Amino acid sequence: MLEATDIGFAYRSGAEVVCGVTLALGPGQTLGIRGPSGCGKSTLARLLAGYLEPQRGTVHVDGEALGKGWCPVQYVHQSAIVSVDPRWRIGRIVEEGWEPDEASREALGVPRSCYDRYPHEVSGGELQRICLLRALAPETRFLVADELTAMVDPVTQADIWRHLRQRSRQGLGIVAISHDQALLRRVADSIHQMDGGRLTELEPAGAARPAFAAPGRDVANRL
Amino acid sequence: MSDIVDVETPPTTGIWTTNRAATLGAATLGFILLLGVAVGSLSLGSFGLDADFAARLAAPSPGHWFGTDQMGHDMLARTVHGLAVSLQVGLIAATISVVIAAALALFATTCGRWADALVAFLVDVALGLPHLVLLILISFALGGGTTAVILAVAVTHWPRLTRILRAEILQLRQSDFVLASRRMGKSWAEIGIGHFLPHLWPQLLVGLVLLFPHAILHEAALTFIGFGLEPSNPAIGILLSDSLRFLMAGKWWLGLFPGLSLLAVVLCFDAIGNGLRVLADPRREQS
Repeated sequence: MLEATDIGFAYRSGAEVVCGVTLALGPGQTLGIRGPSGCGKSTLARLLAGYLEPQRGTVHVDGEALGKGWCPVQYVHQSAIVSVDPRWRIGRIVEEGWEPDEASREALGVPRSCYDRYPHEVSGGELQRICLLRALAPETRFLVADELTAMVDPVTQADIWRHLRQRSRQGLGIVAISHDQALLRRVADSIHQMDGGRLTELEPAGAARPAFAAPGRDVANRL
Repeated sequence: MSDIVDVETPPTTGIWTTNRAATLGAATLGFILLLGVAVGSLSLGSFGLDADFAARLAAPSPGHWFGTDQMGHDMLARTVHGLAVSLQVGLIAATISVVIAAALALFATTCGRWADALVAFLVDVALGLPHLVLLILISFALGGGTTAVILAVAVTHWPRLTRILRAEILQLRQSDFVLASRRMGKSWAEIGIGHFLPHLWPQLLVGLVLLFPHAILHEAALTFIGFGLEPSNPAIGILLSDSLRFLMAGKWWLGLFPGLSLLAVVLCFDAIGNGLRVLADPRREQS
C-alpha cells in the first residue's frame, strides 16, 4: 500500500504548493489526479516518488519510508527529455535499472534497433515510452505517471494504457496525472481533483457526471 | 503499437561533416606539430646548444633558417628545444591544475556545506590575489628552476576550473536523470562515474587544453622577468628575454621566430581543445 499522510511542500519562496495531501493506493488500483496547471500535481507526483522530500507528513510503502535500493515507486516525468541523460544512448538508458524482456519492449514499441540512438534523436512521445519501459521493472510496485500519454497519438495512447492495465491486473498500482478527464475516466478506479495544492474531490469510478451540470467549484465555474 | 522509427545515417555532406572535418583536421595538425617539436628536440641532441663564434648574430639564411644568436647558436634548434621545454612545463603544470580543480570540486559538492564553504573561500582568495605576483612569489620561494615554475603555475591555475566544475556537479546532482538513477538504486559512486564524468569530461579536457597554453605563456613570462628557468635552459622565455638586448641593433630574428613559434603552439592547443569539445558532444550533428 502506498500511503501519503498529510504531506506538504513549498518551494524556496512562496506558499505551500502541496498542502496536507493524504491519499492511499493499493496494489492493482489506478488513481487519477486531475487539476488545472500550477495546482501542484507534478510536485505531488515528485513527492510520492521520492524525488522531493515532503516538508511535513510522510510517504510510506507498506508502512516503511522510501529507502535506498530500487524504489518501489517509479515516476515517469511529463517532460521525458529531462529525465534521461542526454549523453547516454537509448540502450543504456533503458537498461540502467533492469534489462527489459522482448515482450515488454514489444508492448511499448521500443525495438533494440533504436538502442544506438541518443535521446535528442527520437521524438518526445517515443522518449516517453522509453522512460516508461525503464520504469516498469519487475520490482516496481507503484507507477506515478505524470501526463504519460499527452505527447502520443490516440492509438499509441490506447496501446500504452492497455499495457498498463495489464500490469495493473498483475498488481501494479498507478497514480495517473492528467488534464484529460475522459482518459482518467477510462483508466482510473477513482479520480481526485486537485486545486490550490489540495485534493478537493474524490470521484469514484463510473460516477462520471457532466462538469457543467452542478458547477460547485471555482474551476468548473470558470470552465 | 508503432515501433520507434529507424532513421537513416545522416548524409555525409553539410555543416556537420564540414565542421567535423575542420575541427578534426585542426586537431590532428596540432598534434602533429606538437609531436614534431618533441621528437625534433630529442633528435637534435646538443645541436643548437653549442656555441659557434664564427657565425655570431647571422641573419636567417639557408644554413640557419631562423638565424643565429650572439653566441652563434642556431636559433631554429634553440626554438625547437625551447618549445619542448615549454611543452613539458605546460603539460605537467596544466595536468596538476586540472587534478587539483577536479578533486576540490568533488570535495566541495560531496562532503557537505562546510567543505563547500571552505573551497569557495579558497577559490575567492586565490582569485583575489594578483596572478603574476603569486607566480613570482612561489617561484622565488622555491628557488626558481623548472620544478619551481611547474609548481608555481600548477598551484595558481586551478580556481577558475574548480568553480566551473563545482557549478556543473551541483547542477547535475539536481537533474532529473540523476534523481531517476537514485530511485533505481544507483549509488553516488555509480552516478559519479556513469553520469557526472561524461558531463565533466568536456570541461576537464577543454580546461586542460586551455590551461596548457596559459601555463606555457606564464612560464615564458616568469623566465622573461628572471624568476623562471635557468639561463642555460633554452626556453622560449629566455630566448625572448635575450632578444630584447639586440632588437635595437636590428637583430629582429632573435625575437620574431621564437615568439611566432610560441603563438603557433598556443593556436595548436586552441584547435585541439575545440576539436575535442566537438567530438565529446553527442549533439554535434546539430551544431
